[in-house]
Amino acid sequence: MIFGLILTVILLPFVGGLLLQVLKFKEKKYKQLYIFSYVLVNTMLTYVLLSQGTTNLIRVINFAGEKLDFSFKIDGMSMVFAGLVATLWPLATLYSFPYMEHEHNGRVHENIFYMFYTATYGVTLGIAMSGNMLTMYCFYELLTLVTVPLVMHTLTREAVHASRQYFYYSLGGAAFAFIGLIFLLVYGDSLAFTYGGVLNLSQSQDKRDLLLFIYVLAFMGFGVKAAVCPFNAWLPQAGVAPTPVTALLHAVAVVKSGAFAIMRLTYYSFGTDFLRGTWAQYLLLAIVVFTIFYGSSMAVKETHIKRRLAFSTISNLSYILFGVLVMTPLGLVGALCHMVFHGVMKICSFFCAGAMITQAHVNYVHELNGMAKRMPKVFAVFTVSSLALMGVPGLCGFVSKWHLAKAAFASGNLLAVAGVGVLLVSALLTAIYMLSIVIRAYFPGNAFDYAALHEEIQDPDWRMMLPFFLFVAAMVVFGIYSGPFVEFFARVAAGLI
Amino acid sequence: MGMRSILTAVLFPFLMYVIVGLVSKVKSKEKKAFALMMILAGAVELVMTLYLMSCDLRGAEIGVFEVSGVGGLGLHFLYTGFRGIFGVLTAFAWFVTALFSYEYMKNDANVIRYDLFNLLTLGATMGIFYAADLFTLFFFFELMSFTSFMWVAHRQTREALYAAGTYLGIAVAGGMAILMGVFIVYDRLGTLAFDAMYGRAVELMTSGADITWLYVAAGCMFVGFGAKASAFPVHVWLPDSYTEAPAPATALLSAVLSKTGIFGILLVTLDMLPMQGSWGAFILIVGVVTMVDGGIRGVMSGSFKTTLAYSSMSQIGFILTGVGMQSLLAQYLTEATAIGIEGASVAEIIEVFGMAINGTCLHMLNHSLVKLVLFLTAGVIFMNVGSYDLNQVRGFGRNKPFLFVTFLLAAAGVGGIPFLNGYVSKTLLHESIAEYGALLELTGSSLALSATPVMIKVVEALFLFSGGLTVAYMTKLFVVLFVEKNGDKKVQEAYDARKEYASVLTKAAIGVCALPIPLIGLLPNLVAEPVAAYGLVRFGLSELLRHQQEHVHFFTLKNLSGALISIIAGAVVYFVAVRFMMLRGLSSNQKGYRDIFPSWLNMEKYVYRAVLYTAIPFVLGIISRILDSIVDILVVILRKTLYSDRALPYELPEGNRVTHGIGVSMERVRLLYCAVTRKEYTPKNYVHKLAVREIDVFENFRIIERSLSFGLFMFCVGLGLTMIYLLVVN
Repeated sequence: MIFGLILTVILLPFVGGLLLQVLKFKEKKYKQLYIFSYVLVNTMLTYVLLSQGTTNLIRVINFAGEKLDFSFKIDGMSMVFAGLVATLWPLATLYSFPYMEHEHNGRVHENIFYMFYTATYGVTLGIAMSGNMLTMYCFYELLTLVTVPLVMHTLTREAVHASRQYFYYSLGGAAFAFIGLIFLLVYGDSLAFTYGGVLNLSQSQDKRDLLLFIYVLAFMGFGVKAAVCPFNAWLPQAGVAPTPVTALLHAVAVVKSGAFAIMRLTYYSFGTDFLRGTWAQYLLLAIVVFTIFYGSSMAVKETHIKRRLAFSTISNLSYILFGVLVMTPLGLVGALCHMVFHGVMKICSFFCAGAMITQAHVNYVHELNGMAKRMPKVFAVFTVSSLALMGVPGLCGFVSKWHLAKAAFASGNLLAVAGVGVLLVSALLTAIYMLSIVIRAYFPGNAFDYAALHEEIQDPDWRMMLPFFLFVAAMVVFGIYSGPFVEFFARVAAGLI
Repeated sequence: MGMRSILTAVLFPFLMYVIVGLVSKVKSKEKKAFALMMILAGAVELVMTLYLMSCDLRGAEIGVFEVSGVGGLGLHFLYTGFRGIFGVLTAFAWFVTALFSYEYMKNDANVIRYDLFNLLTLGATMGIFYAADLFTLFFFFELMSFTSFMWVAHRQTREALYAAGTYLGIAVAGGMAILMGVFIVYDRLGTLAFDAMYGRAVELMTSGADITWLYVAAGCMFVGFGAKASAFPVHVWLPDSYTEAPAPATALLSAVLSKTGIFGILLVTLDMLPMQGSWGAFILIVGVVTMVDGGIRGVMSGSFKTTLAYSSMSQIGFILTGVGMQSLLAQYLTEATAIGIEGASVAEIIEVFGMAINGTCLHMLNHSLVKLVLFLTAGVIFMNVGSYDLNQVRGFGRNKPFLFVTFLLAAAGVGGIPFLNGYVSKTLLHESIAEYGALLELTGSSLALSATPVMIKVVEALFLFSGGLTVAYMTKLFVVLFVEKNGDKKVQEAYDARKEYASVLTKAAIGVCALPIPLIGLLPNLVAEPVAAYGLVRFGLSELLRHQQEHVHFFTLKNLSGALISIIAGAVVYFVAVRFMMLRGLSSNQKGYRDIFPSWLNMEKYVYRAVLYTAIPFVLGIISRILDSIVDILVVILRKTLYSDRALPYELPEGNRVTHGIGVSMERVRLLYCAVTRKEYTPKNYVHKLAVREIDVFENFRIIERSLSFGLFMFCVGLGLTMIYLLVVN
């Protein structure tokens, strides 16, 4: 039963997308209805699946030997990631309808676009529900393949270049991850994700440093998708994709798959007991802390709106990895918190950027002067998400930052404590790069001529506004009342679910 | 009920925010209605805070009130005397400025936006003063920083937006610094509630544990709270922001918001690092620098409002000095009791200690009242004159008795003239410094203390000198406003003729604030001391202090002489700096004021912005660019070398590979040769020539191949080879 359901939620978006190529629709409306309905059904099924979740391993195919098999598992981690993805996908799909109507050659490739867009949904769920490293690795590679056409969508020179870069980076990274997989196969008891790790320590005592080195390799390999410096260059480039892709994939699904894989690698494969206090932890912590600072600094320098948000994502993804690398359950709580909350905040700010692009045809920050008067709702939402990203108390960004800092201090790791300082500096930089947009839009200065703004610039229609309001509500509710979530995360991080 | 009303007092402004926001959607034209709503909100808030105070005075229980779960940690509120006083003061200030705004803001296009953010700021400020733990404090502090940003940006001019940018930058940076402090405190002390923090901190200190981290936390928080209080060197936002905000907002910034910063520093000093003299010495030094710096720049400024802004900074310095003295005296007290000095001296120390505490609290209160009057007066001037430039303002106040009386009261009050309020608090602070100095000389050598007698002597001298600076710049403003005549005779006539310079409400607002100034000053033992006693901050020693009922004698010769020294110093500074240096000939027959503070000493522009916008981006930019392209460069290098494209198979237009290759290389060699010898390069077409040669050669070969003689020749060669084979092998 459960296996059937898992297979359904993974395959339904594929099948739906394929049928899209065959079916003929009289009107665009019906096509949109069709796409939205199968995405929504998939989400519902995912919820049903998660609510009945089982932590038992569901073996599907056994390849060779007893370790190598294809298996699924729905534990707490899967619930968090799959739940996040399943919630955001229908909203992003809804948002994408008006957006794609504005896209230049959107009409030509629209069916293909939606095919890959929804197929990614299934693949991401596959990553979330994988039961062992091999399964996850397969889905991980598949994710690269199905998302490349999305980046290439506009078929401009930059888009082709960006997708090629994305392709090289991702496949290269996966190769490193593969090395990790092989070593786990050799030195581990099994490949299945087990809280606390699977390494057979008695067998591999003298290979400590080698294993740590392999961990670093695998971390950086998965880290390519999580845009760890110096493997981050693809992410801002990939911003040439249509906004629904940038928002959902390059702020949530794809990049968080990287972070999710790293969590699996650290807590469920190598095990934190083995890693804690080693040079590998310190090295990676240093890299991640640097990435936090680096991403924020570059965001301040960047003037292209979407690229600025992409740099912000780089920084924020490393917040998550920072939590992971604290290597305590508390750290994982912080990481999970930030994974979910950042997902909401960033997708929201990207959607706002997309609304600005479609409604006002602007791409650069300096073109936004005085826009708030014409698009009051969009900018109100953008302001809230900016404040949340900065970590203003009362909004969700603060909650995750609080847990990250708490974990860092509790771990007693000096580098982690220094990391908290960097986290706060990064928050200051966040204030600069986000609020400078907000201030421009609201206070263009007395000399600004509002009449010069184009008449047609106004708030978008309900299909874009509905996701906005849900996100704002989520940011406020999570910010004010985060208790149950954090408790759930705590149970996940303690390996109870 | 009592418990609930803390929450009501905090939430009421937010409720009003919602109401005003909704009403503004319907009726945005009725400006007067909004002004009235603001006055109502201020009045109700004032009643609520007074009710809280009356509950407390009646002995009704007002305990910690919590809203659990908000922001993960919950919000907790607490009522103490000190909090009560500043709660009332906040509500009072808002009420008064709302009265004032009725006239001042009536022609403002964005008044509703101003009102809305004003209400949010009021709620946040209330939250700060009633906060029972650090998290709640931080929560409301951040909220206040963001909402008050709108005050500074309100006018939306270029300068206002620049100032607002600085304000926000410092506020956010400060907020983050506080947050870092909060993290550390939570980690080290395991709690954020102020009561519990004090206990844990004392426990840690008595157990001899390492408290370096506490100092780090305190330092972080000092950056944040000090920024709001405008302590040196994080005061850089102050002059621009105070000048650019509308007058009622500036009054609030100075009277209330700066006190929230002081409140934070007080909590850090009293609850986190109790009895830590080194911290006290640090605060003392910062306070003295702030006091002197603000005073000097106040004297040198050529603008009415900027002078008041720097005056604000200088007075904050006085207050910080008091905070530092509290800490130093607490250390002295602990050390002295530990060693066991006779009872009499302990009582004496406690008395001095009480002076420092009361002086700090009273000076906070006095400064708020005085600055309300002064900034609102500045608002009246701006309404009529449209400028803050001293040369424009000159002579405006002549023949305006109300303005004259209120301004004189406030200016003399803050200047520390006897029988007005500033004298009381400054005397207390001065006495605490002087007595502490005396105590140090007497017994200091036997105790491990953080201050030396010389240091205290310097502090005392600078304290009196700063008092002089206060007198000097206030005299400057007074003379400009009421004594001198405007350079332009017509303008002066217009000023003299203007009787309706302010409405009744505006005057009432200023008058209400000016009223307590002489009251506190004339009857210090009846008014000031009980207020201070009510506001006694919990120090772990408050019980000790409550027993000590002896009144301070304010009007003794010794105390009056301190004020006299300040006044004399002020007179000297005034004549030297203002009359001699600032007043310069504007035209042939008219002297005018000019700003004499050297512009290159602008820290904000030449240190903070320079570092933030120029130095850091430059260095990081280089690093970032290298890192950003490192992977791509690697890819490109590989692509150009090892993984370069295989050359496409193609037909050569002429010749074969060998001739083509040789021809191309010869051409290149020639090019190189020409480049080296600097000859003009003309292509010699080696490729073509060689190709032609090649064709020639092959043509010849083909002719030879096909000839009979070649066949015979080859036959002979074959025959010869066969012969040799037969001969040699066999």
